[in-house]
Amino acid sequence: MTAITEEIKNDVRKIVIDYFAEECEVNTDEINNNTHIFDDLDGDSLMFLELIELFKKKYNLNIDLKTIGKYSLKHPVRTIGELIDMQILIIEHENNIINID
Amino acid sequence: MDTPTFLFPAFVLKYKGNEVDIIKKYGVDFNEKLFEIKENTGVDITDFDILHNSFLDDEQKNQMISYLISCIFSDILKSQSIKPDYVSFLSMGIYSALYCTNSISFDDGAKIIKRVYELLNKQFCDKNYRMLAITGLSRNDIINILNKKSLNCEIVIKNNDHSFIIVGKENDINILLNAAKEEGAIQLNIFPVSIPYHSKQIDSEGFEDIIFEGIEVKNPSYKLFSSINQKQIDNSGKVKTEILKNLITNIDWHKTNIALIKQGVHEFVECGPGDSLKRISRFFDGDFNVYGMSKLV
Repeated sequence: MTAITEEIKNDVRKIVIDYFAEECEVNTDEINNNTHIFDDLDGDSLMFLELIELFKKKYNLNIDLKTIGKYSLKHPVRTIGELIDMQILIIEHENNIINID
Repeated sequence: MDTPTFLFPAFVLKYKGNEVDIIKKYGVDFNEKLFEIKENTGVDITDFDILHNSFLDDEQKNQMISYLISCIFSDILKSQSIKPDYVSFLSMGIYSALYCTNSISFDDGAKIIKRVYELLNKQFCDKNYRMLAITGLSRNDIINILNKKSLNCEIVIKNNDHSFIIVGKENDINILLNAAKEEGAIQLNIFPVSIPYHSKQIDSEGFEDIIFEGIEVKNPSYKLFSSINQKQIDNSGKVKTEILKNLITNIDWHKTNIALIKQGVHEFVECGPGDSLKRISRFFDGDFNVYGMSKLV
């Protein structure tokens, strides 16, 4: 279990926003917590997976994609803010994320 | 930019929205082309309206509009001196790829699409087949579900390590969909397709004579790369074989792209409506870029 610091939170936020800005060809200042990933950015599930892979490598995480899929069933991610929160939870809990209510 | 490889998509799942603007920018009379398809094949796509996402749910018209836009894009690129090193295709993208390589004419490509669709539709119109895209599970995960639930489904396309297309009867596909969701799939989409393309369910005996009647197939004038066996298709005989095999053979799109990257390809152009191939390419290893038309013209 990783202790989440302000530095990690800021890092996750920057990576997520930079990633979507580049992939979806929008400026970073057009993306905020309420930006809808699918409706506003035309994002897709493969972007979602690529970001998870990126964080897996960066933070050396033990997390199965399937675990995230199961977690997402109960906690669907639609906005950038929700995605950032979920990525932070993944870094904090790794595969144990599935046991969080 | 290196000499790019042109990739032709199967059909359109979602338009980018700028396809017709790009076509008009280069002086192509798009409406005339729509009427040409109707006159040549009887398939009426003249009411196409990109703002209303026309034909996304119509299997035959979707293939036809994808073919038309892909062919025009290929012509536009060539007119701008952007010519392909290799040409490859996913699934029904084969026909626009063959047009691009000057192996078949525009009209003959449209005729082949119509003939193939009619042959397959006759075989499967009352059989309730469906196509399901699963994202977020591995091939083994999917096979385990199929075995555990005794489902008669077939993985027909591997897009990448995390994305597969499966065909099967509607009931089995629905069971698979629910099981895949429980297993942790990130996304599940049932395509508006009723024919089990690329599966062993298709009986293609007798197709050759019907498909190629009155059709002239020439040797490809660019390097045409098979998504079936990852080899070059360098003569008209192989082109005909590829068209027939493409209907009944599983496709490994991942392997095809990796093989091209190993051949030294660094730049791909997605030559068709939407951007599905660019999206799929996210999980391919290697130093490469996939560009959409709007980035180039």
